Amino acid sequence: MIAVRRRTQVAFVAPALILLSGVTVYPLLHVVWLSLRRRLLIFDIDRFVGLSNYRRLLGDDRFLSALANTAYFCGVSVALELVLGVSVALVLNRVRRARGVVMAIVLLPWAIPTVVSAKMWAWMFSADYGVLNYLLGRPVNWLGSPFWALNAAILMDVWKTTPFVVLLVMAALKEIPEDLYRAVRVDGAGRIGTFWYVTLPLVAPMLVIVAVFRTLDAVRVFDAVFVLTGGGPAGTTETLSVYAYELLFQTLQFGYGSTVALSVFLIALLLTGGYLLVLRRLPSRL
Amino acid sequence: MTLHEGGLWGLRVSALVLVVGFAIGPIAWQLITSFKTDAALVRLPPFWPEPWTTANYEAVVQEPSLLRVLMNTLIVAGCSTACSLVLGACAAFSLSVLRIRGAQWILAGVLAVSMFPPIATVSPLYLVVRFLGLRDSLLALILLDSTFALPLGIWVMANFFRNLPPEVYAAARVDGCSVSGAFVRVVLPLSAPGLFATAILVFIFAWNEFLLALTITVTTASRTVPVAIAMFPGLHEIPWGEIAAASIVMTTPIVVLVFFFQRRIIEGLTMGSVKG
Amino acid sequence: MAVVTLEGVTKVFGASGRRSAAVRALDAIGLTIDDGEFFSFVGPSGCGKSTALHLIAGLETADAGTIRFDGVRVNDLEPKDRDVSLVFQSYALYPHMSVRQNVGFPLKVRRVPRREIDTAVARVAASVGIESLLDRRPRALSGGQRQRVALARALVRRPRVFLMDEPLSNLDARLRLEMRTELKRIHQASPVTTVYVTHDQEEAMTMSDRIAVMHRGQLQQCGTPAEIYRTPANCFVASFMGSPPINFFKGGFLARLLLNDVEGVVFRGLAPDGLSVGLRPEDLSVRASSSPTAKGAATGAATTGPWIPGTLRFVEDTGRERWGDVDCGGQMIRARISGSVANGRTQVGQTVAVDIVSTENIQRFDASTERRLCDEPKVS
Repeated sequence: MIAVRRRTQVAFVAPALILLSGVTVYPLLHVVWLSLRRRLLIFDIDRFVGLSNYRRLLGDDRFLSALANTAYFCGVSVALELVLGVSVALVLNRVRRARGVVMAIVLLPWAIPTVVSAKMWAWMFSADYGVLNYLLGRPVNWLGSPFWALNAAILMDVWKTTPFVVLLVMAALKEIPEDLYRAVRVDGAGRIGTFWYVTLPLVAPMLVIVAVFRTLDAVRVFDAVFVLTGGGPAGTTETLSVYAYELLFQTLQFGYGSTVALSVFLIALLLTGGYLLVLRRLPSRL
Repeated sequence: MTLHEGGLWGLRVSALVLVVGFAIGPIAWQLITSFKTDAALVRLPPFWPEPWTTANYEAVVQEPSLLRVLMNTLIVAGCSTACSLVLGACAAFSLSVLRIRGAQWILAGVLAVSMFPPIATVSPLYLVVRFLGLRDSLLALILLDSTFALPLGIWVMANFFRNLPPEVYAAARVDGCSVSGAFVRVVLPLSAPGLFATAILVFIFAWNEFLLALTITVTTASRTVPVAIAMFPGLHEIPWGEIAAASIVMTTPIVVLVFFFQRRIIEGLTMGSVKG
Repeated sequence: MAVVTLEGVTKVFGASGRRSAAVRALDAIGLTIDDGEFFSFVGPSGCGKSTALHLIAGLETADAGTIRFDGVRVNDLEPKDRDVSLVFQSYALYPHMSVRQNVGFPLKVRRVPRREIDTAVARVAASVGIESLLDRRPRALSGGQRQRVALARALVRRPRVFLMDEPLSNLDARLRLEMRTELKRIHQASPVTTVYVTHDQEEAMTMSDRIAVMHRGQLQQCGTPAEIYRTPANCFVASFMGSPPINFFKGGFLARLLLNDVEGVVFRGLAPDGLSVGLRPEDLSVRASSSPTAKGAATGAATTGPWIPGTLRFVEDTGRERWGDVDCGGQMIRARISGSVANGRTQVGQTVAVDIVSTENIQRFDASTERRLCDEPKVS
């Protein structure tokens, strides 16, 4: 390779990195600082309180319930998306005719704004004149009952983000050489055996990557819940991000709100670490 | 055998119909809803609009803020795309073709940054924006959106540059180009499809961004589509018909993009994640 | 072990496509592969040889015709029910499994008990020399090692038919020679019916009991290596088999150039105009011709056979032998430069004579149909 002065290399990469650290790394440090303070914008209160905000987290029922909601949302939606993503990818992989149109349609839910899809689903979930209840033939109080509301949010999220999973799984499928399918047939496996012994193991590394992306996205879920249920009914769908947002911008508690917001970051960090361990254990790729 | 194959084929087709139906169903229902009168909205059946009405669209279009919101979003998304494309391409060039030392670590760091939950950084950003007097301004949104889209851009383009034959850059340098000359005249033109894919992804991201826009915008002066839809004004009841019409109008640009460039979008998304 | 019979087997690709031209990958192929035979399909790429193999394996279904194993129709059987094994050109090793798991896989899916699998794997690993690699993954192996693993996976069961699809073409030249011997040895040790596909005519010649030469989906000739080399059925077979390739002449051209005994030896009384004559390079010999202009005056020891005058244009020295390209009135002829002449006396640009050393191996074809003409003179 042709040698290039270090200064040139740095000049190309520096602007992006400076902007990135200014807009993401600095605020993160700032948020840590804020989380150690009691800061109420309306009363002009701003003082250092040490770890007391963190102590407050543990006794805050609303925080704990938001944590539980987030965990449930995250676990169920990611699991569903992976299973559904693989199935849909296998179906679409066979499509030859009108492939472009089919792919575009499948991509639509991913591309339209989350806010719009939340409104769309809110209307479909409507207990009295929602099309879902009409199709089901029985009245389900989707957004009004504590049990259904969070599951409704999950359903919407699955609808919205499965296309992303599908795309990446399809990309992984494309990398599997045709000869491997032939080999496994000659070696004596049927359709199920082929899926179990070849398709799934070879897609698995991609699934872990997708799971990382999806989990980190689901942990910080905001738009979907905020617009669909607003955290209701009675806080039963409130996730950590929604709770943090309310603390920050509705009650203007910048200290404690930042602590809750930072907890989302810490959880994401923890999960990433866990996934990295899994990824390292997994049989390496081709 | 043929019977078995036929059954399998039938199964596959019905699965495909199910998938496509699930994907497009909610959007189709929104479209149908947008043509219903207020009275028809609270009756089901009939499934189809009886009578068909364009009243919802008329109401939405007459709203003076609609054009404003669309323009805002277009400006924000367009400028953010341009901004993160330029910065991202330069960074990706340094990280892949120029092989800056520690490129792996920088890329990993960039990826980590993209995983930051926005809620964790939104409060200081709000304070800074307020301090700078940039609240309710498009400039602040452009700055923030383009930065948040930067990791995606860097990753997609770095992967794209890496897939170029390395001799191309070497040949350009041997033929007398400077580093930036080789970048602008050879590497960029060759990566046009990748740049385009990145541009579409960033555009869609900026068009759809909600949390930042919600915290920074106050009035229609800087309101974007997602915020406008979320805060759709309703006096007493939720005006579902108008919301439906408005969301159809405001997402049409995205739908058009998807239908025209689905291949590029798919390419970009996979580029950003494969080898990730 | 099985006798494999193909009867009128036809495979058309892209047949359902509306306007796309359907490609006849195989056109009414009929042949029988005997029990325990080492049988090769050979031909240039796209000739249908791999398709034939896939049809026998059951990976593709025939559009017409019948495939039989020991007389039983197997057209509708899935590969797993045909009891065949296949070595792929790409090896097709399972990247996520260790070598041990790869080799044992065909037994595992057939629910063979674990202990039996272990012994079978150990046995076959020893026979192809991969015992030390069993716990590695394919990624960590060299090309030659992967090849052996693929072979072991195919050999671990005792299939009725053993199929190989260009198994050696991804190896480097030396390793390829080594594996050729190895494959022959394995086949001799346990003679399973083997169908081998290759584009390398030399490989087919050296390894096979019988060869089928394919071209554009059609069977050109089927026979032992000697038959195919000595009595090629048509111009294609003559030109495809043999290296360096055979020289072809239109009869009229040859008649003008050849000096003596043309009618009797080369044409055997056939009319030269409709004739295409093939002469293998090893049956031709380059001789220095001392008088540059003389056409008739062969100096020194006059040869008895026919010869062609020309100018030496190019010499290729393989170490073991030397080949010369001789320009004979506008037609290039490849011929052997025999030892006595080779000692530096022949030089590029020199006027030479090309002797037809062996007249028995002259190939005669009908110039328009390109078919072989019967060897007996037409005059009765």
